Amino acid sequence: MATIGQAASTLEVLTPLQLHNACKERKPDNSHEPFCFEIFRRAIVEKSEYCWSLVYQQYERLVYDWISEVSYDAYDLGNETQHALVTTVFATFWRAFDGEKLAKAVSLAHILAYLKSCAVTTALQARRTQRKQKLDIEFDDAKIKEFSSESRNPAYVSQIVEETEFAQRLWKTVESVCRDDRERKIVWLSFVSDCTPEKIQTIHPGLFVDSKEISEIRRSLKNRLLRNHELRTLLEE
Amino acid sequence: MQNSEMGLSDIPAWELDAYADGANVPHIAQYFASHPDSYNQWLTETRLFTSLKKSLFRFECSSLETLQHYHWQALSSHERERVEKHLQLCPLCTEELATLRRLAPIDNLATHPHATWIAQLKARLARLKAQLDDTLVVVASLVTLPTSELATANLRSDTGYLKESDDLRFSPKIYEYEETTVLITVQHSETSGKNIYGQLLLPFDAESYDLLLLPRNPTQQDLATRTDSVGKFEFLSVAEDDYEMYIFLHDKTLVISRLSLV
Repeated sequence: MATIGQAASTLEVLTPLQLHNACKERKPDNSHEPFCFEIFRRAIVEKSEYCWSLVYQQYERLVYDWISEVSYDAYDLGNETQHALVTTVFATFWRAFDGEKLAKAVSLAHILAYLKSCAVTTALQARRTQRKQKLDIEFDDAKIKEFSSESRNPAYVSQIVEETEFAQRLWKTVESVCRDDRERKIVWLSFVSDCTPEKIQTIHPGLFVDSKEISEIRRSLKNRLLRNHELRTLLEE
Repeated sequence: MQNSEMGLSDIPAWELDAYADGANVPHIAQYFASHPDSYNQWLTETRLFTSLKKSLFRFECSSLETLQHYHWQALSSHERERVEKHLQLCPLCTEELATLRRLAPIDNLATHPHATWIAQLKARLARLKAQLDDTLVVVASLVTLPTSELATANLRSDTGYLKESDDLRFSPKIYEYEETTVLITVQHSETSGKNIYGQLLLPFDAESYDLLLLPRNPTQQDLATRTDSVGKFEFLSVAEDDYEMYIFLHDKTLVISRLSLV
């Protein structure tokens, strides 16, 4: 079986199509791997667009399977189509996996592991977006924003910065009404992580008697927050 | 709850939380029905806190790109410390990092490419099972046991035919689903466990179909193989256990729901 290093001089004379044909014949003894590695090398180091398209063709199905490992439920991944998610994965990989990283890759498995991590994070991002949109729906907000990658224009990015700054001010105010570390944890987990009292109890089993105690503490906190003038002003902004 | 003077603060907080989460709490519903002012107050407060949650939700969470760099140990020490400090507070980022570590581990990258193939087949199977159209995953029926000569005539094995001393539990079997037939025979391995020899028979070409063998015992290894040019396949030195076998065809996945090697 040719190794990735030994076969380099032979691989260089092959056309991309020849490499692709040899790569797609997956063999249990992994003798197809040097050909696949060479396609990646040409795509990443030589910036061959043809090889990039071959990479996409070769691994599109696999990437979609990886996305499905994170969530089988299409609803969980939100409004993005399968094609859009797969395209995002390859775009992320193209941006992140450069020649320096390739030089450190000892095998095709290394490259595919990075590609898989891109697939997992893309699916997790889609899930984050979906969860945020569910909160919008809970609030009966008719203006559900589309957090697709196409909407990353400068105005949108500056909106994100403003929202983050506003959230930081809001958090400082909320934190100021907390009397101790237990209350701070409840407030953080309830409002920032959207955890139920039962989930909070699971995360901090030794800190509270049970989830009912958490509910009572949270009610007391909410009553203090309702009387906080600064908070009400911020929320009315 | 019979006292008409009872206010919202008299209702246990956990009952109101359960009601807000959509649980069936009839006495709360009844109370709100007979105390519309209290209901409106509760609704206003609930919406206020939903608004608060909407504004604060994950405002300090690391981006997934950052988490991915953290996973690959590609952050500066300052950034790494910031992420680790946040992970101590945030169960959602902690869960996402755990998912990344579980599904895209970075150890043993120079080895186990075969494990990657198995993981790929399992993901494909999981996705098929999750789809609504469950006819995509179909169970092959065990038909009448053939004579040993008929079943083993075409199968690759050390002996070619069953001997009298062979265990009848491992006599050759035929499984069918519509136009698909699977012949399977099991024999003792010279090294350890059992060898499974099989052949996939289709109306058309039976070459290069993936097979996955999943043990009942989760500590045993999952195995994968592929049919050759005439549809034959084998699993060698398989540990004794009960297995499910999945055969990934173009339009469906065929399952042999119990293949016992015990």
